[in-house]
Amino acid sequence: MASLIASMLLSGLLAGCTFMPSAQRPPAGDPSPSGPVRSVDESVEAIQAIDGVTARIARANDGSRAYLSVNVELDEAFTAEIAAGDGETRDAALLDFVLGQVWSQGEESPERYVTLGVTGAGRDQAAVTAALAQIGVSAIPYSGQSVSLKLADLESRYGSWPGAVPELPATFGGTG
Amino acid sequence: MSGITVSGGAGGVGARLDDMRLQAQQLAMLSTELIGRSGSAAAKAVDGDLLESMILSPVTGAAAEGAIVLASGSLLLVATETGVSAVFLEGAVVAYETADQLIAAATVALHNGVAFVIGVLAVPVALVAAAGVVVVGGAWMLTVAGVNIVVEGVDSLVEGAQQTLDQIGDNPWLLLSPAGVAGLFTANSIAAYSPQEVIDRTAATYADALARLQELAPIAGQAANEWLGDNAWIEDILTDGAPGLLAGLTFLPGLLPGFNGLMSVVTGQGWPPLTYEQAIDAIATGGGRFGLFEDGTAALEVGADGKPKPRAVPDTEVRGLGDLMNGSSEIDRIGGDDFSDIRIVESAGPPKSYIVQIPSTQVWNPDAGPAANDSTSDVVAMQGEQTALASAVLDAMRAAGISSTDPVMLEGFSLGGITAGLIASDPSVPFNITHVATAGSPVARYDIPDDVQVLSLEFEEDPVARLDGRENPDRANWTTVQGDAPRLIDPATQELEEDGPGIAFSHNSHRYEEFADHVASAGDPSVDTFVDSADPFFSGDQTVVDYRGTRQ
Repeated sequence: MASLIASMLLSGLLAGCTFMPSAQRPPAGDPSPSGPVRSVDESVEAIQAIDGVTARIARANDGSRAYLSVNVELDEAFTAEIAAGDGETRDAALLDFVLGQVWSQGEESPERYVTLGVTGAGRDQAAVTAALAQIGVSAIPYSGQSVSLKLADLESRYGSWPGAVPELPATFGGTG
Repeated sequence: MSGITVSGGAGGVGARLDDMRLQAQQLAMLSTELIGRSGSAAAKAVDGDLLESMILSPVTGAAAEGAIVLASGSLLLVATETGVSAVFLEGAVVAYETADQLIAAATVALHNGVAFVIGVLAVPVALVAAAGVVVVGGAWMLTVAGVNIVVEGVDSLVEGAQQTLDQIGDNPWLLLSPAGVAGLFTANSIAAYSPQEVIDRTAATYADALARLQELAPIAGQAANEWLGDNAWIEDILTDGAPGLLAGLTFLPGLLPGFNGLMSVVTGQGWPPLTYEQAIDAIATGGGRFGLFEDGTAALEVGADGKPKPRAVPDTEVRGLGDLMNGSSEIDRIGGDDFSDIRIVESAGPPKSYIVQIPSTQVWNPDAGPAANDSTSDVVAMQGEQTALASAVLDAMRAAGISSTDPVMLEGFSLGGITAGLIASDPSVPFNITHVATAGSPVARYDIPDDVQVLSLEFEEDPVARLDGRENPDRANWTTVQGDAPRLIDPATQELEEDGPGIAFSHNSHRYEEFADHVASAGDPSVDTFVDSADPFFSGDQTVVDYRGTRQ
């Protein structure tokens, strides 16, 4: 018993005192009346229905502070469909759809903030920040080429977490 | 950002002791040489030719003998002085090191004693405190309810009297019967008494108190957080004195016959443990009895060809300490709790050199999961045993084509740094580890070889960096930089933090990134020596790839 207590103590210390009130979780919205909580896999599957897009949604920690990490990888199949001149609009539509999907899953809490990394097809931090600005989501540099997003912006755009499931935009073959 | 404190490295005490020891050795060699020369000179005094010449020229011969004796004597005198200086210098080094070891041993004993007392008192004090809260809180709640009952009673008496007076005003004949008036007053008062009013008033008082507590809790919590951060040395006592703490926590049950034997069986250690290492082993083994801390093995993600799959990381360069820490944040973000993202940065050279970045703890659950960088890995690594994460790192190094002679820098934040220290201290590792950089990692107990340059960044408030319970070695090859954790632009608000990070939030890779930039420009000789020696890793064309490891 003592070793168990000690192990929990050690784990707690290693966790950088996770017992402290680190998480500022967003207020949960009304649970879906029609069924169980939407899973991360469902959201990822919906995002990956777009040609040339793969995505991952995972919980991550920076020391004692937890956050939701979103990674999007684009390949040539996505880039090839961009008509000249509408790349930025298309990127904004994609990120709007991705974040809507992230916000609709109820399995992993957004915790204190959400990070978004978009790689491939020449996207970088500046391009992602510009695309997010088009949908009213402010972003600041996080690490590497990723950015971090405020929960307040996401709540403002997608409602209380977990939000409604977004429709696939017409530009990606959906009905909008 | 406030100042930094640097220990060890090229400008540290250890380096000066090394210099003193080297000087003592050189003086001793010089003394030996001089003694030899003195002997050679003295031998001239009994040289056959010189002795024969004294017959022909006794005065000149005597003068020559005198000069030889004087020269050899002077040499012997200088040799003796040099030898004595060497002995004193070596003695000073030994005395310093011996005193240092004695102080360290006394400190460990003191920490264990204090931790034992804390352990013994912890449970009773907690119980008394909890009982005190229950008693005081309960008394206050009863008092509030009692006061409200009295207040409502007084109110009902006043209302009953008022109603009775009104009734007498309407019918003065009632005064002819005092008993009747008294009866009316009683009936009116009883009718005016409202138990619901008592309940509502009491509930409102409770709710108000709860709201005040909720307002005060974050303020008190932050005050405690910052106080503990300012006094994080308390943790040194508990970690360095871990055996005493465990012994203290189990002291009272240990009075029961058979308890210590049971604990020995459960933890696989003699109980109570006597050393830090035994305490960690006891935790790991005890957890293992319940299926916890089962590290297993790890494997890298493979491509269609069945070989480990490198994932190119575009637009990324590592040009200094800050970039290293930024990379640590990024690999944690990419892998999250899904997998261990291991980054390898190849600098073209020549010669080629490699930075290997190891992720930090992403899963705080003693039940081992798919990501090998979890609290299981923390505990196993702190035992000094190789981990699944370390195995994945070595696999990634092989997959990246790193040869046994290519210079390698291992780098990591928190568990990443622990794993870097673990690998660097393992003589069986078939790579040329020349540098280790850690941030917020308890690595003091790793026996990292003298030919590996180590840089450790540790915040004063960081509780994780203190889990080794001792200072890092003050050696010429090991530079430790300490300082206060800076405030950041909080990703959650995108504004500068209002509060200090304290003990709870100082352990953060972004704070270490900012600290690293500050440290690199501080002009400290030990840090500059490390950075200069690491220049090949930060120079030239770079290629960055990630490998994904998961526990099997």
